[in-house]
Amino acid sequence: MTLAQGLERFLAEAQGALATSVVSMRDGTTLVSVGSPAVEVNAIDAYLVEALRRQRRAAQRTGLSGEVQEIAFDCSAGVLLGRLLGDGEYLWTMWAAPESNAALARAWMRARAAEVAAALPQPMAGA
Amino acid sequence: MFQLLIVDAEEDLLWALSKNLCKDRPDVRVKTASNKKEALAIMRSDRIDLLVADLRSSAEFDGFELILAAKDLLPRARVLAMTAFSTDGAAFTPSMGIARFINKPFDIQVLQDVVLEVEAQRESAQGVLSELALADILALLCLSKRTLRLHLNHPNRRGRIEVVQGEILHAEFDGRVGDEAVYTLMGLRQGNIFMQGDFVPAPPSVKRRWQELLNQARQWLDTHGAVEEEPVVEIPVEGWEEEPADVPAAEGESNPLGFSAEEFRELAMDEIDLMRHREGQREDSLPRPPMLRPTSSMGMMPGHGPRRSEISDPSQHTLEGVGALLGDYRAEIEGLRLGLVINASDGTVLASVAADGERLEAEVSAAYFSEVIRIALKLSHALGEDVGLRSVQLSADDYHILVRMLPDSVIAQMLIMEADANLGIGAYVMRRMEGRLFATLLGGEV
Repeated sequence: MTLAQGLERFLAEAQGALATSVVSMRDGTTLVSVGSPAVEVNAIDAYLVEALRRQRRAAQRTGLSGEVQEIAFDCSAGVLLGRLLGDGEYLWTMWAAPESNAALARAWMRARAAEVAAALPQPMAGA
Repeated sequence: MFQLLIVDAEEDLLWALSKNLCKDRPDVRVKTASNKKEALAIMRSDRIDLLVADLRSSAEFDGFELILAAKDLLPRARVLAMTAFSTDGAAFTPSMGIARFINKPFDIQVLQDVVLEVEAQRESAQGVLSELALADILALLCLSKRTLRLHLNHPNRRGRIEVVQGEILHAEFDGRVGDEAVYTLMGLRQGNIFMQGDFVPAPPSVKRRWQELLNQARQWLDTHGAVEEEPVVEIPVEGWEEEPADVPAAEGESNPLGFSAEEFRELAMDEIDLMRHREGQREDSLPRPPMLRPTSSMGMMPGHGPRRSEISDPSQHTLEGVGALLGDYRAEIEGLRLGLVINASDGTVLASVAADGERLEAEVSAAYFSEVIRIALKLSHALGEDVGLRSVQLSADDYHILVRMLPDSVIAQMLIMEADANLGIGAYVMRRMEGRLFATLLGGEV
């Protein structure tokens, strides 16, 4: 299953989901996105990556330990969720309709995280 | 040289006015702007004697907020508001206040007459934007069909006026309700006005239509007198121009958290949209309750409100009140490490509570995690002008962070919790806290 196919499947399952994508934590660029073209996926992805970068720095400076795995923004236009995949090199994001059940959406992301991660670009064996 | 700035989204109209308005008067220069950025650039760089602004909202700018911004940027200028909303075909002229109004469409000669009339009065210190009064604010709100609640904090009393879709429907002040409360409020010579966009309107108590109400105010005040006679009017309604945050002049100076100058500059760069009041413009010594931003839902058209909020100089009494509320955090949230109420625009702590033995420092946590909130605010802004951020959640291996924004403000509740804490309870306590927090910050009026 390709990454796009995995995201399509997730989009069909997760109630209220309007768009979903995978973005590089290195540079904030979107690798794959599926869903409503009306959703500003690139902007959402870029800002989510930046938020996580700031969070990492904040955790270092304050002495909090442990890598953030999930991030959620609830705003009047919708619910935005992000989940780090694999070794933290990629961020899986989801944009859901306003008033969506964020807890349920998060649960769907957790349930499908391994599947989506398996479809990510992998280094060649021995590389 | 008498310079006027005309701001309107209709570029054809601007072109026609720039070519024809006062073309026989070489001592009158007409500048035009079709959007917020252009208007602000001119207002900042040029001496403008008269601002002519369309009151209608558009994607490019909002005339009402432009006028509020001009109050700070062009305090010696005069203002002429163009409106297409008046139904009787005649320009509304309030008997109080300094703003002038002209109905669109208008004959260019009519506008020219007004411009030259203002030009003739240019040497007078009267009628300038720094004197913008409650009557002006109300007229501008009504003509632009806004929905807004104005809180008026007098040194000793509180009042409010509710404008719904351009009609003044409710007012209360010092035991008075309805029309009389409006008259009394318009007689105030001291105090602050705060704007609240999201509110549940009270049952209507004002009987007169707004034009008649404002025109009756003068007569009523002549008969009954003003609340007090001190000739000082302070109306710190904020404009909507973006301005950079203050950056410390030197490392170590005004830098209690020990950030490097570079870190401070980086923090300051995040300060989009979040207005900070200019301390230098304050002349009185009244206690300063929080100033909430003029709102996402203040306009008749969605999406054109400013994205800014502000809190400035909350009194010690207010801070103590906020601090007292945080006892609930400790009492009800098992696994709480640190609970904070912060100003997300600058990362300052209004109040905090920590678990016994907790080593996290409130000030440092607020300073750094507010960066994340500011990114979230930027993202909200990128999604739409009227999109408001409600909450942020960060879940790590060893902790959770919950943030809940006070609606239409930059004030945030923030909880740092253990990894096994019950997030649902944390979210519930913050939601329940919101009303009391809001009331405390607004001096118990909400």
